[in-house]
Amino acid sequence: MLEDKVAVVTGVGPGLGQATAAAFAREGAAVGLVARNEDRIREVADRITAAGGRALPLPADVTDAEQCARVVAATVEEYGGFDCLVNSAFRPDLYGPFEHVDLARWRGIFEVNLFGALQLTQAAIPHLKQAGSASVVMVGSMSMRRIRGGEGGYAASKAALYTATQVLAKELGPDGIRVNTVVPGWIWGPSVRSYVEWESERRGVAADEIVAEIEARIPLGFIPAPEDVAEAIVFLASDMSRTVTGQGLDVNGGEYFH
Amino acid sequence: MPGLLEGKVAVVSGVGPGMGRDLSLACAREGSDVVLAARSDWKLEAVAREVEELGRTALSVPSDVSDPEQCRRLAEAATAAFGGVDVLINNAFKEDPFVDFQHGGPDVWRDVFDVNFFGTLQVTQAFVPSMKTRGGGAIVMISTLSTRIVNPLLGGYASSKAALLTASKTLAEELGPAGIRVNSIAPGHIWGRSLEWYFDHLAKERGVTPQQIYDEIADQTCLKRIHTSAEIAEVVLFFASDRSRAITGQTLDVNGGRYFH
Repeated sequence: MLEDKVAVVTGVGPGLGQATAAAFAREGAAVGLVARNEDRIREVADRITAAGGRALPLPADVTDAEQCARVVAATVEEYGGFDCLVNSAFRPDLYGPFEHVDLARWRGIFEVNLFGALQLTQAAIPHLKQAGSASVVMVGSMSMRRIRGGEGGYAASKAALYTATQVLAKELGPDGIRVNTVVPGWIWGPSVRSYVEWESERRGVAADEIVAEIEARIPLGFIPAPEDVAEAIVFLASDMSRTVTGQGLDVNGGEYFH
Repeated sequence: MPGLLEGKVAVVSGVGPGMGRDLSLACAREGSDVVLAARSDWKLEAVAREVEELGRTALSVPSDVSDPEQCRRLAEAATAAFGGVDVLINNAFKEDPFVDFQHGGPDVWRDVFDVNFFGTLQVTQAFVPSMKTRGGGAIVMISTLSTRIVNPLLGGYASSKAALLTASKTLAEELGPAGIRVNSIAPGHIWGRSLEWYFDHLAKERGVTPQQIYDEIADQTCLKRIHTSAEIAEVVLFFASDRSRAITGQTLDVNGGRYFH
């Protein structure tokens, strides 16, 4: 689905970013892998290359505009173009009430989740325009659909990104650049696992029971894997969705409907 | 790489020369056999031939979705031929007769609901057992931009599709445990013969060229074009395929950025 495309995926860590990079490579894209942790992206790149794919580790911090520019330049230099960008890098919240929160913490979250994604996108625009049919995919969050206390910084940063995405869709559409958001619900991985452990300890219930409770709220009966969410990102990056821009697609097993 | 619907059986309702044909051919290209449903026999035959030219089996079942008995027979015929069904694309619809509420109202709307809402639900209900025998399936509803941007003279059509959007969420909730996913796409203007005809008509009425009408409408989108039914069919394929295995109860607006949901 992504033959001959050049893509960059940010936030290649142990979860969704890595699964997305692998799915892109499987579908034929050459993938630039962005994260601060250089060892991890080298490892992911090696695995992709071993499976016959093309991958380039690009260690960078998206909060630094200079480094964003270097990511774009290195990608274009290595692969000769830039067609798709997946902004998956994020900073989580600390789960504290607004009343006592240090807003510097919120600013830090916005620097990654909103401005980080925007400045990398901005740096890529000149090359995305050349592509003729380009796509930017943002990663939203269920925390902006289902508001809970204690994670305001994260939820608000993702909501801001969601709206910015629609503005970008308007502005960049005439140049053939589509901009959409995948909105995951629960994703099975390290952060859900630690939440389950934490809940299990707090309530004195077995971890399996906590998982069963979450699954019971999901009509399809399973917590989506990073690979499941990655398929939606592949779709929105590919020309299969060339009719779609400025939209959000919720991937949550049906836990809530948008 | 294998097709997105390799080895599956897909049902497409409302098969005519436009979107229904493109959906059927898209399914066949991705490796599924196709059950074709529509009221007119001759429309079905032409598309069935094209499906078979792609190397897949086609089963044509002339049927009117507004008749529950015919829906049951359609499902029986499909199950008898293929043993079960994996994908149902509810594309059959009745257009609004373009009468305002004051002069049309409930009597006119009821006919539209009989196809777009009750007809679709009837077909869907008939196919649930054959999807269950396969351990799950994917149902895709074709909604419309008219539910998002309301136009006078389209009240019955828009309301019927809006009711269907909500019912689809209920179905997603209820059928999820059986592994059956229910999603909708909401297309904007669809480039094809009937829109071409409509633009010609508008152009004559207003004394401008059809291209000017096209440009006006296309200009309201981000991507500055009106997409074809074949392009929209590709989005349906995603929801019909296992690629969307973690998605249910959702609606994707497919309108080139005319409206953001």
